[in-house]
Amino acid sequence: MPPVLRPHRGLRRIALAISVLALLLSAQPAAATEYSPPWADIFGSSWTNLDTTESAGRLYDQLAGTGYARYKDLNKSAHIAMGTAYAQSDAIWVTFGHANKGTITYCNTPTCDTNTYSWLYANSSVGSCGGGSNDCLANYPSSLDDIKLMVFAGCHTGQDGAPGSLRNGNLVDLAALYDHVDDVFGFTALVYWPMGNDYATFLGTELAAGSTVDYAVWKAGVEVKNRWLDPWGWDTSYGHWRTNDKILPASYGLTGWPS
Amino acid sequence: MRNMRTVTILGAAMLAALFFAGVSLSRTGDPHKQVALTASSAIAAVRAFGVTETLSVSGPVEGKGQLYYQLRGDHVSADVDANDGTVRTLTRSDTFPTTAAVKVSSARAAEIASSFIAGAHVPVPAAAPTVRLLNHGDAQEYLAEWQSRINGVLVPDYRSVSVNPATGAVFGYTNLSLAFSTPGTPGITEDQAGAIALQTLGSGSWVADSVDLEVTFNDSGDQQLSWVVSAHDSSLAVAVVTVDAQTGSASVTANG
Repeated sequence: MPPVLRPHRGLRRIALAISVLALLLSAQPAAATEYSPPWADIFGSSWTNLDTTESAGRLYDQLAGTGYARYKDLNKSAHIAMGTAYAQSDAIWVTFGHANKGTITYCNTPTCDTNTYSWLYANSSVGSCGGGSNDCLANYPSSLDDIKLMVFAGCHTGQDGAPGSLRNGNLVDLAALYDHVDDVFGFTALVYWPMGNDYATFLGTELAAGSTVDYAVWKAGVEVKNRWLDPWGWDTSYGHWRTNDKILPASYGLTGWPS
Repeated sequence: MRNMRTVTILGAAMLAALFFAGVSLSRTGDPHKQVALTASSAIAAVRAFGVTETLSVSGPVEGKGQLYYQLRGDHVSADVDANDGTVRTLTRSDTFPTTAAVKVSSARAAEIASSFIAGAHVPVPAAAPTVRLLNHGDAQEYLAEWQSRINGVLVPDYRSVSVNPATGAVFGYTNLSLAFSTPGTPGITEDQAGAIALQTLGSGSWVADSVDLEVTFNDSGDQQLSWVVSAHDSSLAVAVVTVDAQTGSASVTANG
């Protein structure tokens, strides 16, 4: 199924224009924007040595009927993923991709050419995020707090990056404790593909069935373990969440942390 | 292994009756992927674990070396092998950890896991399970595991029980075992397998981190003996290369 790119972009332009006008009229500081129905952005990239676009597509498919305005975002940069038309307007935000402690990676072009990669860093303390298409979670202390569910589906995303580098900090901890995302998850080990495609299916199935987010993230790992006779790292979920939170019915997250 | 499975099935009279009365729904070339079990028999298999709630059944669906039914209730989910009735996974949402507190010792978790297995009449190796405390952030998990090796070879004989460290309640169970023949001797050495793996990964500064000899199954269900090689390169990219221990043919699994 092709990504919903063209209508998505058009709707977002209209929505952005409205929100910009609203902001000008109210003279309020920039903050997260909520829409009805709530937005869900699922990111994947097509590197030559790892293609996570199918994972994004599978989760996108599984969320059909959950009441969210779903978008499958393929080969978009880290900066776009964190933008006002994406993370800052999302109720659900999930990225499948290459990652390491304190960072997750994106492609910047539709063909995912070499040298067009970008990085979303944790960057809890070292200032500049490198500019351009890169970005940092630490840049958004007040504009991601409407996100209900955020998932960094890549290797070691639930672990601390190297101190003194842009990777400094932990994507999951930072998103929850600093950006006030309600429910956020990563992984503490290497995770592998194509097993990740099945993880996406299992996660979406569980979330759409009305399971709590913590149970859904964990159970999807158990299902990978059975499907492949090995968990391939998908059983190492690490997260922070509000007890008994579900994605159903479709809604944005609560502001502030903890509840 | 086959005998152990047979004992398990015979231990649950209802399941056995249904199993042997089951209708063969399909046949494939893979001996592990026969459908001999009806959906109602799959429910009966889960009942042997003390599950009483209403369960719906879907499938069977295909997994590596297996076809399995997926069962779901209000609080319980399970996967059941569509051929031999083995309950491959059982998870409970109502006993899932809601806190990171640890009030149960590792030794006690091992006892709870062993008792759960015994109560379900699932055969396990005589040795006690290894128990790890997994940090999931706002919750933790005791994972008790039984993993067999024969002559040093990792074989598909694995079971695990997940125990809530705060309450001692069981919230997960897996049985990833498959019928297999005693593995033979590899035709190529560990060093040769490492070299093949690095050659397969191509140019770059790949270094092998670990090598293990395992019983695996190909897509046709044929048992193989494989060297499983984990490697990384200078950019910290990581890959797993599976090398056929007889022929030297290799395949790569990418990481994220």
